[in-house]
Amino acid sequence: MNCRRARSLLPLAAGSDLPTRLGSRLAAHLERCPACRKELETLRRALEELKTLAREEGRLEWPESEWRAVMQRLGPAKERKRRLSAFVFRRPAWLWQVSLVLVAAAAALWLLLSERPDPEHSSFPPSGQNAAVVGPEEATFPAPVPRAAEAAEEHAFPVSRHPSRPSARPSISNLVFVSGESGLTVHWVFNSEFEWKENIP
Amino acid sequence: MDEKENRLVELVLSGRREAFEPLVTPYRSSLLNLAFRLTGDAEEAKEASQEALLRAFRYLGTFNRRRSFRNWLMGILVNVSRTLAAERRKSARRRLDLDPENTASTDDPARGVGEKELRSRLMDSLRHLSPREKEVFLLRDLEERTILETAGILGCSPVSVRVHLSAARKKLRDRLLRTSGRRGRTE
Repeated sequence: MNCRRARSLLPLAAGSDLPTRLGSRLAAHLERCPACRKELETLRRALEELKTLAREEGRLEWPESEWRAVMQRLGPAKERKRRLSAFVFRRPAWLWQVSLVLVAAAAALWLLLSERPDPEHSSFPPSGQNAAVVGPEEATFPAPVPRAAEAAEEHAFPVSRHPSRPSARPSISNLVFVSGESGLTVHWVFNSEFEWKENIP
Repeated sequence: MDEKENRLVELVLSGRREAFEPLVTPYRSSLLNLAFRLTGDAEEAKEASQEALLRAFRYLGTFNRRRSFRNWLMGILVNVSRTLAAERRKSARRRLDLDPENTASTDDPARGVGEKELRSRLMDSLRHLSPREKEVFLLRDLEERTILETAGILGCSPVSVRVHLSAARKKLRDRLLRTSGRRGRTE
């Protein structure tokens, strides 16, 4: 240890505030350096003098009346009301950063999931509605038959036949009639020309 | 924290506010004197101590009983004193802006204190320290808290305490050497 380094440690050494390892290295230097020893001595003397001054110089005292007045001013104590806020706000900074990243990741995931194609506007038909997008030329006969209720609800009206105005409605509609007495089932399949063909299984 | 203090804290929190007085009475004098050395003004010291006691009472529920009550109280006092000192500096600056004729140094902590206080060598030396150096020196060397306790009270690292303590001791030693040299010459 050189003198420059030793002098930087002397103020702490004067009050015995150096860690043990540094203290022993400084002690080794002081043994062979009288100038640093003298410096340490002046620092110790100054510190002692200040402590003596603090003890000797007049100390302030509370006048009894003022002390009573302070004690009278005490209101009701807040009983652990700040516990929760202390718990929330005294977290380390890195915890806030991690939380922020997690929230951002969750928001990004939600955005990604919400951008999935809407089945109503998809070019792919949902299962069970094959008949709705199959053109009249490609439709095999007999066409796939939806259940009666769905067919009645979804395909009850004829589709647009104008060639320049493609309709959002399916090009083929089905109707199913079931006889309550005989169990006879009649499937009516309409193509885009609204021509019907009867299929009696 | 000792058992007696723990019981008193429990009593205050259960609604018996008269238990607060025996809890803080042991620190009555040291609190006022620490405030005086921090602020450099007797009236401000009283104000700071009163405010610290009121805050301690109000927020006793947040006190961690594994820590020392004395250190917690000192931490509050240091914060209050710091705030008061900042307000005083601000108002002094405002006064100076309003009255530029008044060229007296209003930043002087000894302003308004009695002659006896002005004569205090300790206070005179402390005036040459920065606020942080003063806090560290007062807590470590005069209140005899450890480095770790001082760091806990001030809410800073032990390394920071050591750095400021080192600077404070050096400045104070230089100041004392200078004043004693001056006195030697006049005698």
